[in-house]
Amino acid sequence: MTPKEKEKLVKTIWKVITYVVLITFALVYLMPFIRSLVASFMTWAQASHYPPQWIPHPFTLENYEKLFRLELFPRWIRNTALYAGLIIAGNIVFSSMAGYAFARLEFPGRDAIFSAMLSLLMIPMFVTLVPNYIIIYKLGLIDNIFGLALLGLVNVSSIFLMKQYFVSLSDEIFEAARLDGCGPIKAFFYIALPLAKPALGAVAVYQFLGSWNAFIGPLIFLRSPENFTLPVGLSFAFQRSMWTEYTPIIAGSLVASAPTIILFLVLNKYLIRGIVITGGKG
Amino acid sequence: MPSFSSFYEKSRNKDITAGLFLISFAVILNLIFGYFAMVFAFYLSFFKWDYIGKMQFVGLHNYMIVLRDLSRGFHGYPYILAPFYTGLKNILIYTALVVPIQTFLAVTLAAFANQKIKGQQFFKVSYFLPATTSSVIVGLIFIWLFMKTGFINYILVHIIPGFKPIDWMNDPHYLLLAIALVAIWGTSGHFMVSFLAAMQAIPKDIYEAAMLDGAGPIRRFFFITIPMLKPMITYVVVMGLIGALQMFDLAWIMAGANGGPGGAGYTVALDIYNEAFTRIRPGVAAAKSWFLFAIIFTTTYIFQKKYGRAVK
Amino acid sequence: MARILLKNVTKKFGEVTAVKNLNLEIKDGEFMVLLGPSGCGKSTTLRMIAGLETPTEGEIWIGDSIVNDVDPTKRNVAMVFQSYALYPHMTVFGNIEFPLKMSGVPKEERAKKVKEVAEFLGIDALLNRKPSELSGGQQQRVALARALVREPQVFLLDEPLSNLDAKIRTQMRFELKKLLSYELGITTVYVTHDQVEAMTMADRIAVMNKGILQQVGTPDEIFYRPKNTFVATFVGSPPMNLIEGEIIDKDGKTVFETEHFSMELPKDVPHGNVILGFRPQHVQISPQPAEGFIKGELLGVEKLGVENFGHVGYGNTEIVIRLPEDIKTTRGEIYWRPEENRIYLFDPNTRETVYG
Repeated sequence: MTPKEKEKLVKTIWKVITYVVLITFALVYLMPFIRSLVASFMTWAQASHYPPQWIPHPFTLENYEKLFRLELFPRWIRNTALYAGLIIAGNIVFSSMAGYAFARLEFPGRDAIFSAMLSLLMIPMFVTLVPNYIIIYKLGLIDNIFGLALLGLVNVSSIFLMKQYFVSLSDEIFEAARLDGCGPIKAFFYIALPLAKPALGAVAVYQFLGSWNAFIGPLIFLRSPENFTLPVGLSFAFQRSMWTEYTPIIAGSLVASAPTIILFLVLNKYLIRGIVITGGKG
Repeated sequence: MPSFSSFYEKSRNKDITAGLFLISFAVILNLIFGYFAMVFAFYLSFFKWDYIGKMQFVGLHNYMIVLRDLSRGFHGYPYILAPFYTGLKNILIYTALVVPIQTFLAVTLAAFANQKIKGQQFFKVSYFLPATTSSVIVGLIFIWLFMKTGFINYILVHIIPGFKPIDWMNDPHYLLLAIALVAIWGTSGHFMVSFLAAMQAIPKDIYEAAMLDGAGPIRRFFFITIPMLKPMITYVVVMGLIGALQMFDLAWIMAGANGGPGGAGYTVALDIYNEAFTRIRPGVAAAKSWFLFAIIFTTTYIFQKKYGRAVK
Repeated sequence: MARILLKNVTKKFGEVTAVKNLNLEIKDGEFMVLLGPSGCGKSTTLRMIAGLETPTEGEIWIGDSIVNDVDPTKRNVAMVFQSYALYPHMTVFGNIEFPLKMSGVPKEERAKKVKEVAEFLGIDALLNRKPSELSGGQQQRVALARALVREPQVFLLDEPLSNLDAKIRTQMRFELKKLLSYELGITTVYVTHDQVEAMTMADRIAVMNKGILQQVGTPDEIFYRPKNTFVATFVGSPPMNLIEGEIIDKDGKTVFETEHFSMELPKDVPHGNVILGFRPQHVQISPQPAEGFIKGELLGVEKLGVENFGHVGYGNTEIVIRLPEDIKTTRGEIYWRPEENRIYLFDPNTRETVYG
């Protein structure tokens, strides 16, 4: 074999290896979802069968029926949606205000306060968990979605994202507005906010992902089963063996994951780019 | 020109008031639930309390409880008598498994994907998908997959000769490993996407210069790609450490509030939870959370120091 | 022998032909400049010599062997990139050392060679710094050092001066030429769009346009004996004036006729439709009407200190002529004629030189 042919062979083998590795891992990451989807339409007898089966036979909707027949499950969906809605609204409103101020206005202590905010990101959540519980408890807001939401209403990472965005806008627009007689608050409403739609979208999406999937907070701050969010509710249902079979839990997990998965699939181009930009330049 | 300067002053004041007003809610909220909570946590650690009655000052007693627990565990006492030690031991083993593997896996997969291949977006989306779901939900799915008659045993029986199905959820030797595998599954894809983007940001002509300098593809990977990924690697490892050391969700769902058989799945985070809400000792919980903070801080600090130095 | 030979080299990127049937020889030790506008194929050609692109057709020879299939890691060709492509995470020392490391030179010898080259280029004080801490000129020297330390047989440079300030550029032009040609005598291929760089540095220039080689020659040949209008107007500043017209016999004289004026030419020129070319510097000026001089209306004057250039309009055409230093007029009538032995005639269809 000539050296050129040898080189070509090596390159082809490498390509094959590459695809094999990448596809194998794609399967690894997707398989739990595929298995769950398939099993959610099976009876538990079939889903727990060994060796594993792939085609639901009989195809049944009983797991989903059991989920929704349980009075609590739709409530959990509603609670999670409410929680997510509050978090998104709070973050959009307050972190756009704060982000704009930190980026575009000058006031004493601005940079120091911002650094202090950023350093909060370094604190492990467990240090502040118990004290926050006590504060919310003393406010009488335990077992209350609003109490839970209060904690995450203005996430520091949202403030950071909005500030970065506002900094990246050109100075000239704001200078022109100032010359036109716009004060800082007017400039916020008429100039900054309309231009901030992409960043606000990003904040909304990240906060939706975070709040819909949140567990520890809801676990600790919500006490009665009627007030649970989906992750807490499903964990509760599992631990209390609310159904004798496991398949309703699988179906419930899919229902709980569906909104975030669908959102991700629809927006994946922007999300991946955004996470890459904000998620770590070292 | 008095009128001009007072106009200017007014506009500056306008900025100041507007600025302070706009940040007020955000800053106050975060100050309370962030800094104030931290200070309170420190304060609380010196007290005995049941949330309702009076707080009782106990000095360093809570910290002594922790130290006693650690020494008992060190001398081999079972999990019941040394829960913090058990949780600490487990979480350190867990972290030592999860962080290197998920980082290494993410870099390797990103390197494979960073070639002229078809379907790069498909791979990015599939790898990232696990990260969009709740860890507890993922845990519930994996409990089913890890069952003795479950999918994972089925696959392993077929690819490892002589493999006997393991009862992952109930076997104290394998429970922690199962949790670690789920964690790696859940996060490595996210990091892979980050690494891929960082790799793609490396200018092409640096690779060309290296080619002309005589570096083949493997040497280009180790001398150019990896060193230039240092910021991202640092970020992934630090984030990984912070996440792994505090791991709660997966342990709660897969091992239960008491960490499963023999406390095999017990973690520091679980212990802090139990201390605060089951044993009703928030002071001890606060003390334990400071221990956790110290551990997280030390490990991330040591890593940044060592890795920052060791680049040749 | 480190001569370079390109034989019928064509490079296509999909539908686009970047380089078309290029035949070029670069002699051992020669400083060859590839000159042309953006997109003319000069950088592609350079990259093919380096091995970063493979020719779609044709052969590339370095020395006595065909190198089409030789990996760029093995060609012993050094290149200075337009962006310098320094390794940002390594120190200057690490950057220069890298090629030696790759070829397995032992550590002590590496250190020795790096210090030698660094001293040679005057950057030995910077060895511990990182590229981001250096100025543009210093970075370029590091790129040069990294390329030189391997003692390559061929040296390639891709617009190395375009990122530098104008003042440093002028200085570096001479330093590069001195280093590569006079001191080291390395076969060098230098790519640029700047005709001043080409004229001052090259042993020979290869002018390219749209992937096709227009002309190869010494700077003198390119300047005084251009083969077509492209070369004629690309080199020289301000560019050569081109006027369309017809050469006929009139009253026993050979005359170049345009809509606006007539000019007498020597009898041996070809007749018919032509394009007349002459450089702004090759004209004679008279403020008064004179025999053989053409009348023109000055539209404006560019004063550049030592040289002044006047713009004279004829209908849609504008020509540029050099005016004496002490000329006073900026508007009004001016009389001019091109120097007789500095006239070029081009075929209006092929644009090739037919006289001059």
